[in-house]
Amino acid sequence: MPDTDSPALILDDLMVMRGDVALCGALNMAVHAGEIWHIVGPNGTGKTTLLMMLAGLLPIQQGRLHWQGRAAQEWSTLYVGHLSGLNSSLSVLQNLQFLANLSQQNTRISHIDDALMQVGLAGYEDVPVARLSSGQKRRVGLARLWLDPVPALWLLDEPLTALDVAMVERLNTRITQHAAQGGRVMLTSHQPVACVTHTVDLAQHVVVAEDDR
Amino acid sequence: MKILWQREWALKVRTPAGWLYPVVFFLMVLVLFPLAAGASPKLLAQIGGAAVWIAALLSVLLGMDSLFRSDLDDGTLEQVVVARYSLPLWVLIKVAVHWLTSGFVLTLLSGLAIPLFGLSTDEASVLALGLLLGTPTLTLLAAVAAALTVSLRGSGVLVPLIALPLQLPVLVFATGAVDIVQTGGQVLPVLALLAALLILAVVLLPWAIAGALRLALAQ
Repeated sequence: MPDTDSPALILDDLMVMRGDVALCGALNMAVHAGEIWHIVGPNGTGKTTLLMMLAGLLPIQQGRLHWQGRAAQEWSTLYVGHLSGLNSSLSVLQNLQFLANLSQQNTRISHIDDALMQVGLAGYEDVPVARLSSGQKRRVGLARLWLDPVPALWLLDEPLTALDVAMVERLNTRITQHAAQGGRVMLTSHQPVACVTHTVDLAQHVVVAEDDR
Repeated sequence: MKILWQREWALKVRTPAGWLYPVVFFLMVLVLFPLAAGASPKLLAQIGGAAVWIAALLSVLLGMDSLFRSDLDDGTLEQVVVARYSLPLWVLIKVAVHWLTSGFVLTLLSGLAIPLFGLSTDEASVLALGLLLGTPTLTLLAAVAAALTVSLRGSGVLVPLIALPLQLPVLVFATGAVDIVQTGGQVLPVLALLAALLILAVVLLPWAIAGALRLALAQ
């Protein structure tokens, strides 16, 4: 049952657009506390674009996005996208401290060490990110999910890419735990994700170009 | 905010080649100019201010095109926007740290104009004061150009093309200040004008730069 105390994130006739091109039809959905949404669809149907719009990276040109009437800007969001957000010449610790500071999370070294332990990178604090493998970089980006206080809305773009089985398992557990605490998660993945509670298929929203009439 | 400041410093420490190159360029022009211009001490003292300023202007432009490039490419800029951190403040911190490793170093090195160009101590102090007030404005203007062209590959030529016309007034006033000292005039009004330009630049340009960076993200 959705938590009625916490307002839902509402997508109201939201058009997923890149520039002037609509990638799929208008979306109408409500994301309640405790829900984990899996956004699926073939390549090019706007999964990443939708997440970027929700994150405030792309302007919303048609339709509305709001938290039951309140501006979406009032909500803290954690976005893990295709780009890692990590500077390759800085160390793992320096990068995480910077990102934690941006999203007003605890930047104490011991706290970040704990998060690194959760993603299996204990002892990597002072290693420059340039020396990590792509899977390890991915883990550093995901370590932010274990930092307190964690933002309520998680937008994860292909979080499972380059992760090993054990880490996928741990990530599933963490997402479930976050949802149980009233958080909400929207993620894209071409692999099946065990913890999802809802699925939206962008392919079923594909618009027929109006010129075709 | 302290952590943002530290990050920029750490980046400068880890990649010294990027900011040392413009400084070395400035030094080379300063040393080579008197050698090439001949041995007339009077002529050297006359053109010294202008030579140092042109070297400073070109040095500031060097390497500016990459100021925001890595932050756009690695997703740092995305994270600043998603966290709704003040983009103009982040820009200001970034440009300030950049200036400390460029314009500020040039200001300190401009003292070399005393032995190299035979400037008097008074002339050299006005020159240094002009650089102290002028180079931050030049850096901010170049940062606007850098932000506008950040998503274009090979935009190295565009940055000076966009920035130079905007930077010209600063150059004209600042070199004028050294002339005024040499002819015994009042230098304070010119320095005050440079300071006014700097204040305007610090207050307004971070917003312009932030706007340009947002445009680059939405592409």
